[in-house]
Amino acid sequence: MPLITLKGVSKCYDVGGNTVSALHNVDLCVAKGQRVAIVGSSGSGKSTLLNLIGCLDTPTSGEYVLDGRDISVQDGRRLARIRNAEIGFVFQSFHLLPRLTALANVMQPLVYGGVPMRERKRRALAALTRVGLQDRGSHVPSQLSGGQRQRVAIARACVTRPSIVLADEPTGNLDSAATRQVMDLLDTLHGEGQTILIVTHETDIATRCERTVELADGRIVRDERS
Amino acid sequence: MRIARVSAPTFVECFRSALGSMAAHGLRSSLTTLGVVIGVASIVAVIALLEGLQSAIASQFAGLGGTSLAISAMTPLEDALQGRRARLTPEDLELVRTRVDGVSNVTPLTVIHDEVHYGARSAVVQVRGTTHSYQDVYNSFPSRGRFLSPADDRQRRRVCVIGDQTRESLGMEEEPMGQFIGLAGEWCRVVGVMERKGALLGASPDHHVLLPYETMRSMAGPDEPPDLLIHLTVVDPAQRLATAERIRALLRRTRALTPEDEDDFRVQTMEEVAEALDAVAATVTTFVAGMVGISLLVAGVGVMNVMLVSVTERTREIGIRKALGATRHHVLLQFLIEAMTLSVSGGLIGLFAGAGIAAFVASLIPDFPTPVPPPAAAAVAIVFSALVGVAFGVLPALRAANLDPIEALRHE
Ligand SMILES: Nc1ncnc2c1ncn2[C@@H]1O[C@H](COP(=O)(O)OP(=O)(O)O)[C@@H](O)[C@H]1O
Ligand SMILES: [Mg+2]
Repeated sequence: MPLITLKGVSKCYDVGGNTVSALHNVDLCVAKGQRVAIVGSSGSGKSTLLNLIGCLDTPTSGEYVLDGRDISVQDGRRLARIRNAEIGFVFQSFHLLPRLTALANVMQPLVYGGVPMRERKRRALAALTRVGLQDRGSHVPSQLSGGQRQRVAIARACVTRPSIVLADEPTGNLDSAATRQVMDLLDTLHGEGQTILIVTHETDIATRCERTVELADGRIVRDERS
Repeated sequence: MRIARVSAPTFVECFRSALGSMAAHGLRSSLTTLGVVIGVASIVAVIALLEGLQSAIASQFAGLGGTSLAISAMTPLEDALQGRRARLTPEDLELVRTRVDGVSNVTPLTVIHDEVHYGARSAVVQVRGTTHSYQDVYNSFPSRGRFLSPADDRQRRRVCVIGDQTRESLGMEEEPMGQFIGLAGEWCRVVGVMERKGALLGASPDHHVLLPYETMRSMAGPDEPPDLLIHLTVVDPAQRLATAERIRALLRRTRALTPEDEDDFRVQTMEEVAEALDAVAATVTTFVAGMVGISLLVAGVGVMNVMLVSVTERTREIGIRKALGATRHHVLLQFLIEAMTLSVSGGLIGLFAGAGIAAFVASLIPDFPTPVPPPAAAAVAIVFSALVGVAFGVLPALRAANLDPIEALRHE
C-alpha cells in the first residue's frame, strides 16, 4: 500500500469573494522510500500540494490517506501530532526559530513530541552531527550561513525520524556549493530509505530523483519515472 | 479523547522561551512590568504598614486591659442631620464620679486646638484638659518634672505638662520647669514634660499641652464647653459589662430619654475602642485594595497590549512551531506562561519595592515598628501578579493558538 494517496484532491482559496483554485482534482500515489521531484512554474500549486501532504492544510474536496489514515477527518490536535511525528519540513527560507540555538531548534520537534530532556539532547546532537554541524550547536541562526541554516533545518526535519521529508525549494536561497551540500544530505537520507518530496525549479535536482511530477495550473500534467 | 500531552519539559521550555523573549525586548518588557510593580508594591507596602499600625495600636492599648471603659458623646444620625450635636457635660462627669459604684480612675478628657506662646515663638497644639489618673488610663508618664496633681485640679492652678515636641517647637530648654507659656491669654507654669511616645496615624501624641481639667473649664469662659470624653477603670473586671450597662441606664435617665430615643452617648470597653480602630484600618485596607485593584487592572491591560503586539510580531514563529507539531495547547501555554512570567517578575520586583517603601515610610514616623511584610503579603503579591498574567494573557494566547499554520507561515 502506498504511503501517500491523494484521490481527486482540490484546494480552493477564497480571495475577496473570488474562488481561486490552487489544486484541481489531483490524484497522486507515493510509495514508501520514493524520492519525488515536484516541478512546475510559479503559482502552479506546488507549495499548496506540499502543505496538504504535510497536513498543514486540508483539502477542500477529495481524499488524502497518509499511511492508512484518512487525513480529511482528523481534528487540529491530531493533525499537529501527525506533523510532529510523521512529517519533516524543509523550507526555502529555513524557518528556524531565531532566538533559539541550532541545538534548541533541532530539539524543538522533540519538545512537542514529549521526549524527555536528556533523550532530546542526545537525538538532536546526533542529528546535528549527521549534517556536520555538531560544533555549531550553540550558535543562533543569525550566526550561521545560509547553507548551515538549511542543514540545521534538515537536521530538525529528520530528528523525529518522520515517514516523509517535505522540502519546498530547499536550495532556492542557496549558492551552488551550499546547494550541493544540501542535495548530498538529501541523497544520504534517501539512501537510508527516507521518503522525500522536493519542490524545485532546478533540473539537475529533479534529475537526481527517480520520479518527477509536473504541475500546471493546479493539475498534474506530467508524472514520469526515470 | 486524550488530553494533549503537556509534559514538564514543555513547561520548562515555555518558561525559558518566555525569559528569552523578555530579554529580547528588555525596555518594552520592563515598561510593561512597571504597572504590575507599582500595583504589587502598593499592596505589599500597605499590608506591611497596616500590620505595623495594628501592632502599634495593640501596644498603645496594652496595660489598659479589658477593665477600662470609655464614655463619649455620639450624635444619632437623625439629630446630626438637623444640626444638633450631642455632648457629654461636666455634670455627666460628676454623675459618673458620684453615682457609679466599683469604678476608679474616672478621668475626663477635653480636647481643643489652640495657639501657645513662649517668648517670641508660638505653636498650634492640642490642649487637653484632664486629671491625675490620665497617666494610668493612657499609660503615659512625665519624663521630667511631675504630672498634674489632684490639688492642681481642685484649685484650678494655672499649671501645665507639655509634650516633648511642643517643648522643642517653642524652643524651650531641656528642663523647662518653672517657665511660663501663654495660652488663651493666660500664663501657665510648666511643671513637667511627658515622655516621648512617637506618632501614630499622623497624630503626634508628643505635640500637646496638658492642663488640669478644672483649670481648662475655668479658662474656657461662657462659650459652649468643649466635648468631653470620660475614661474609667472598673475595679472588678467581671463587672465590666454590668457597670457599662448601669452607666448607660444612669445617663439615659438624667437625659430623660424615652424608650424610643436612641442613646446620644456611647459606653465602650477598650476592646470595642480597639475594634473601632481596627475597623478604621479595615476601611483603609478596603479603600487601598480598591485602588490597587484598579492599578492592577491597568497593569493587566498593559500586559495584554504587549502580548498582543508580541503575538503579531511572532506570527511566523507561531507558524513554524505549528509546522513542527505544536498543538493549540502548546502555543496557548507558551504565551500564557510568557504573560505570567512578565507579570510575576513585576510582582517579585514589586514585593521588594513594597517592603522598601514600607520600611522608608515607617522610618519617617518615629517609633513606628519596622514593618516586615508578612509571608501572606508575599503570597498575595505572587498570586495577584500571576492572576493578572493569566487573566490578561488569555486573549493574546488564544489569538496565537488559533492562528492558521499556513497563514502564519506566509506572514511577512
Ligand atoms: N493562502 C492563499 N490565499 C489565496 N490564494 C493562495 C493562497 N495560497 C496559494 N494561493 C494561490 O494558489 C496558487 C498556487 O500557489 P502555490 O501553491 O504557492 O504555488 P507555487 O508554490 O507552485 O508557486 C497561486 O495562484 C496562489 O496565488
Ligand atoms: Mg511555492
